[in-house]
Amino acid sequence: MLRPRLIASLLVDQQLHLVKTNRFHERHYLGDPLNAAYVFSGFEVDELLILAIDATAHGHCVPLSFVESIARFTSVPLCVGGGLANLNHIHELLALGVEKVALSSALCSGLNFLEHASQQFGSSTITVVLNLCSNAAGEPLACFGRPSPSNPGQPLFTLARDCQLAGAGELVLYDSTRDGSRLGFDIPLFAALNDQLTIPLVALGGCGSHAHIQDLLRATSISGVAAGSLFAYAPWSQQVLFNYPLTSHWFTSLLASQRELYT
Amino acid sequence: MRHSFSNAPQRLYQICQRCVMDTTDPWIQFTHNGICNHCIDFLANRLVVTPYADSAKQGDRLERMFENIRRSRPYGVNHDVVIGVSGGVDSSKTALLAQQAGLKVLAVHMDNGWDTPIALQNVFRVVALSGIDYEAEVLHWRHFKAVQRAFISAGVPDIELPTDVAIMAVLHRAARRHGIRTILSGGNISNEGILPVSWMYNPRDSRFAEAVVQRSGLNRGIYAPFRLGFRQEMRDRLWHGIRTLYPLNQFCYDKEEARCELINSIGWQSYGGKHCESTFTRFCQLIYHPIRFGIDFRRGYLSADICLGRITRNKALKELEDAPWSNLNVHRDIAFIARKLDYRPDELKAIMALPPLWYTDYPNRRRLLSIAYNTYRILTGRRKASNF
Repeated sequence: MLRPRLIASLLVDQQLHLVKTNRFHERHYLGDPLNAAYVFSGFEVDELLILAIDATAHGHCVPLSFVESIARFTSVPLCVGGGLANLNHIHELLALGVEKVALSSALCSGLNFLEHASQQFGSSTITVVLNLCSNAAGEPLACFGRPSPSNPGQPLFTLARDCQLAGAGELVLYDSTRDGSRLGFDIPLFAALNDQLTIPLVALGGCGSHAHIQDLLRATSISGVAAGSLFAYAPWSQQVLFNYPLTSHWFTSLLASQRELYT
Repeated sequence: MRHSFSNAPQRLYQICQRCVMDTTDPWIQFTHNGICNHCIDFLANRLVVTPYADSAKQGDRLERMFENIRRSRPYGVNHDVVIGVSGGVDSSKTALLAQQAGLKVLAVHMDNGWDTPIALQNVFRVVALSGIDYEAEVLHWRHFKAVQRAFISAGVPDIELPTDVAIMAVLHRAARRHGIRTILSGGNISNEGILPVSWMYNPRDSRFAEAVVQRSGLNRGIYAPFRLGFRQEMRDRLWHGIRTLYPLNQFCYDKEEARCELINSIGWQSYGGKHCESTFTRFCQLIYHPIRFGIDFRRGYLSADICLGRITRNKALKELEDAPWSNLNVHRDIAFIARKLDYRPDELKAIMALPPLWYTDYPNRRRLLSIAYNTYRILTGRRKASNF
C-alpha cells in the first residue's frame, strides 16, 4: 500500500491574497501566497494544493505568472486549480512544471472536458475537485464549483463514479459544510466513497487535529489527507502560524507503528 | 527614482585601530590615535547599562526585573509581558527566559511576508512552551511590498526600517489591546551595541519614512498601519503605561551560548548568520548593503565582540576578508527577492549599482527627536545607551 499523502491546501483570492475560508464564506487574510508556498516547500510537504477560488467567478484562469513564481521557488509536487476552462489552460500550467491540475467549475456543464483533458494529458495529471454541498437529507450532494442555490448539487456517489469513468486521475472531496471548522472529517462518508472508487481519493475540509487524521485513516485507506486550517494556524487558535513538520513527524511515526501492527 | 548625489562627506578610507569600524560609515570620527567614536561610545556609555562593565555586579538584576514585572501586572490582565517572536536567537532566548521565570507571556509574531521555514518552526517551538500564549499579526503584503519598494528606490540603506517599525507598532498595538504594561525586547547591547546611525536610522522618525514613501508617489496612508511615531510612543508610555525592557542587557548575554541552549532545550534550529531568520533581512545584510553601500553589518557585530574581548581584532579582520555572501546562493536569493517585490532580477541588480543616498538626503527630524528624547531622559533619569 502506498503511504497516504499529507497535503497542505492554500486558497488564493482574486487579488492573489492567501486566505482561509470558513464554510466557503468568511475569509481570513493570511498574507503572501508565494511566501507561504516557499515555507511549505521548506517544510517538505507531500503535496501543495493551490486553488484560486475566485478565478471562475471572474471568468479567467489562475494567473500564469503567479503559478510560474510558485513553481519556480518550490520543490514539492504542486496541484493547481482555479478557472481552468480549456485544454490550452491545462497545457500552459503543465508547461510551467505543475504536476497536476485541478478541475471543477468547468465540469458543471458536462464531463466532456474531463474526458478530453484526460485523453490528451493523461489521467495522472488531472485532479477533480468535488465540493460537498450537504449531507443532511441522507443522501450526500456534491457539485462542481462553489455551492449555491443555483448550483444545488447532484448525488455524490454517482457523480464521483462518473468522474472516475470520464478519466479523472484523482478526486478531491472538499467538505464545504466543515471547511474551516476544524471539527473533523465526515468519516463514514469518506469511507463509503473510497470503497466505491478505484482512483485515489483526497479528503479536504474540517481537519483540525492529529486525532482527526488518525480516525480517518483507521476507517479507510484513503490516498491523501489535505488540510488548510491545521497547517495555517497555531494549534487550537485562529492565529496564523504555518506549521507542518510536527504533523508530518507524528504522521511518519503513526504509519510506522501501524505497519508493525499489520506485519 | 532620484539620481541626485548624496550630501554625505567624501572621505579617504580609514579604519579604527581598536575595532574594525571604518569609513563605510561616512560620519565616523577618529581621535588622533586613530580610535573611532563607535567603540569609544560603546565602552563609555553603552556597556554601563549591562553587567559586562562590571560582571561582579551582575547578581540578580534579571530576577529583580522579572519580579518587578510580576508585581506590576494590573488586575484583570492575563499576561505580564508581550514579546515579539521572530524565530531568531535573541527573541527566542528572551521568551525562554521570561517563561522560565514564570511570567505569563503573550508571544506576538509579525508576518511581513518574509518568514523562512526554519524561523516559523522555531516560533512554533517557542510558543508550544507552557505559559506562553500566541498571537500573530499578518501585515497586508501588497501594501508592505509597496513601502519596501519605496525604500529601495529611495537609495537609502534603511530598507529594513519598515520591518523594524512595524514590529514595534504591532507589539504596542498588542500591549494596548490586552492592557499589558511591559514589552520585552530581544534587543541587546552585547551584539548590536555598535551600529552607526547612517547604517540604520531611527525607525520612529515618521517624517523621514513618510518622505521616502511619498517620494515614490505613494499616499502616506499606506504607511499608517506600520507606523509608530514619537507621539504614539509617548502616548503609550505615559498614558497606557507601556514600557519596553531589555532583559538581555541584564546579564552577560552571549549569543552563541544562547543558541546552543535553545538547540538543546527546545529543539530549536540554527539558520546560520545573524538575523537570517528572514529572507529579506538576509538579503539586506549580506547582499544589498555590502554591494550598494559597502556596508558590512558584521563589522558592527565584530567590533562589539572585540570590545568585549570575545575575539581579537586580527581574527575579526580575517573573518571580514570573506565576502558576506560567501555562504549564499546569491543569484537564487536575488531572483526570489526580485520576484517577491515585482522587480526583474536584472532590474534589482541595476538598482544595487546606483550611487547610495543616506537618511540625511531626505527630510527628517533627527535634531528635534534628539532634543525630545534627551528631555525625556532628563525627566526620568535614564541614561542614553542608544543611538537616538
